[in-house]
Amino acid sequence: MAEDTTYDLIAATGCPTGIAHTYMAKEALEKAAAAKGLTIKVETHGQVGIENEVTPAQIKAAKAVIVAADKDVQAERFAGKPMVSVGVTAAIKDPEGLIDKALAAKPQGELTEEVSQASGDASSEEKESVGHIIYKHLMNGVSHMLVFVVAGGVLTAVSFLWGITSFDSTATDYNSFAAMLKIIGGIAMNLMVPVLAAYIAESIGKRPALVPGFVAGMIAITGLPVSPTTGLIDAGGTGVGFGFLGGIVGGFVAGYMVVGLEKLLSGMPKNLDGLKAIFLYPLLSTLVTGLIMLGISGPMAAINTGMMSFLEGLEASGPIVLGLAIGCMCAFDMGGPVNKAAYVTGTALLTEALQAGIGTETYSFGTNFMAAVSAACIVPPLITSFAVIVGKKYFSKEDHDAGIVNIVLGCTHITEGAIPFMTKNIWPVMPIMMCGSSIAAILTIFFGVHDPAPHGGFLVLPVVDGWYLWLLAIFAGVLVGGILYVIFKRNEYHKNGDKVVE
Amino acid sequence: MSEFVPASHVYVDNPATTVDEVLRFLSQTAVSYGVANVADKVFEAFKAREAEGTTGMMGGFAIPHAKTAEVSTPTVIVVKFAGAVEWATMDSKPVSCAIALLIPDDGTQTEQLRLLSKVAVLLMDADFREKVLASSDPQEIAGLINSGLES
Repeated sequence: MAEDTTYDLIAATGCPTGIAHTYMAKEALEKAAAAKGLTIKVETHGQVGIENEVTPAQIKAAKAVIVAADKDVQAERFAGKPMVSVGVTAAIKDPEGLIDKALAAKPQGELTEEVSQASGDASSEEKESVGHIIYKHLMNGVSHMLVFVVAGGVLTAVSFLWGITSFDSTATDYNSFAAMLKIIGGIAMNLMVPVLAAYIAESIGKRPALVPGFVAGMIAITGLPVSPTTGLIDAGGTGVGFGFLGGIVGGFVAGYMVVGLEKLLSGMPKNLDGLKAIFLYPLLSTLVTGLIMLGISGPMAAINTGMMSFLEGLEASGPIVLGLAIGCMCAFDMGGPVNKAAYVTGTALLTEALQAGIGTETYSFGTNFMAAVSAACIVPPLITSFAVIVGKKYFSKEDHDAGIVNIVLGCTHITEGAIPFMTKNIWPVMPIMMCGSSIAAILTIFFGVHDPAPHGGFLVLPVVDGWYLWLLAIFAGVLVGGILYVIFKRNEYHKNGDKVVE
Repeated sequence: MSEFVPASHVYVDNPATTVDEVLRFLSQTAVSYGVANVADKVFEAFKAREAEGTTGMMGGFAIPHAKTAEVSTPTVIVVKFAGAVEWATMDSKPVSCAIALLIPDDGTQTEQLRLLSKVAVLLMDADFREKVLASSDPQEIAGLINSGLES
């Protein structure tokens, strides 16, 4: 239900009773505007609720705003526009004068964020580029996702303060409060991809697209469940998700599914509009989006196993090839089949290593491999921290703050902190992350660092054999990746006319 | 033609000369229709609305309204006065016709509430105002409003 018609003028009317003057003022303004050859949209705040609501894009495109109300009509939305604000009777009495005054008014304050980011800018005639439209939808998802990463990541990180296995009731460092922190943090982080997909979809298809968006995002993290015994699709089975990349795909599929359905069903009688919005769109779009997502999730399990055997095959190829593979895989799809393959291989080799015992070849290889995987996972969030500190003026305030929080997430091996940054600019941020992670992984293997813990980031430094070399390896990765990231943001900044790209 | 405003809701040659008298008359009339029980409560609601801002319009019209839980059904009453009633209007002219709206306060009956709003919007039409002022036939005045609601 994209509302993209724009108007010369927009107005909001309201009166205490919400029956008479609100609508008389609307009529008066519409007649006066028509007499002047101007288009107008009047939002009414009546007893039956707000009708004919103006959108941020319409606020942005309007030449002037008229508020004629004796009650609150959320006039703060109109900040930064040429505006007159009067009682409702003034619009009934002298609508022409009011329109002239509004057009002559000087804007006060700045446009609200929602308005300035709204599309449909009528003042610039050029059509929005496809790239920009995609970026805008993506950003809507990222900005909603960011708070989940921060809340979930920090809570998880805090739980590690009791010990990296404090959530495990059979472990010696078990603490029930820490376990609860990890549960809460884990839930918030699991919501990241669904929220990303849902709000990409919402940006495209508005509210009806939220349902297919959330569902697509959930499928992106759970994958296509298959029964381990029969090998067939089974609601009780397990699947391999495809992480945030799947969330992005799912969000776009869900959003455009709703837009497509709106076109398809536009021939239906208008009195079925209500039914369409709450019943048909969500139902049909969720069904089709769900099927598509499950369909493309199917191969994820195969990719996952394929990548694992690929990695195993590289075990003897020396530090550079192996480190490069680990680094690239860890920073590639974050939570997807490739990233998981690296991490799962790492923990599997570690388990074998711990069983074999200190001093054995297996132990040495397994713990070294784990250290490389951990390093590769720690680097991406720290690259963002480095970049927002060194290249502060090239980042928005929001990104800057998220980058600072990523110090905590990076140091505790919570790679997800880098996802919002990668989502915004998969190219070139993903290759930059892969490069940084690879450097850290290669050096870790080369330095012969051994990490007997599967997680925990720098909290496990005391048990890491060669921890100072490990820090050095990670720092090298962060430094290279961070500098590349700052260079990219700097170019972007200059290309945008020396303004921060939001 | 819809009969949102029956001819029996239109009064001509009403002797009221002050706003209070008009509002009193409207309140008692509402009770006589059975859309309200206590005339005083309706009167208070009319007065409260006038206190928030006059309902005097222009061209000799006023649109007093009472929103109260006392009212059970959205209702329109039209009164034309024998003389002129002093009312704070937008053009400072006295009022010779009041179109009163009785509004229940429960947020339901949306369709009827919309019709009340349409009655109010009719007042913005100079042609409509002229015709109502010119007529003294309740049947014709009710017809003007009802046909206005259909357009």
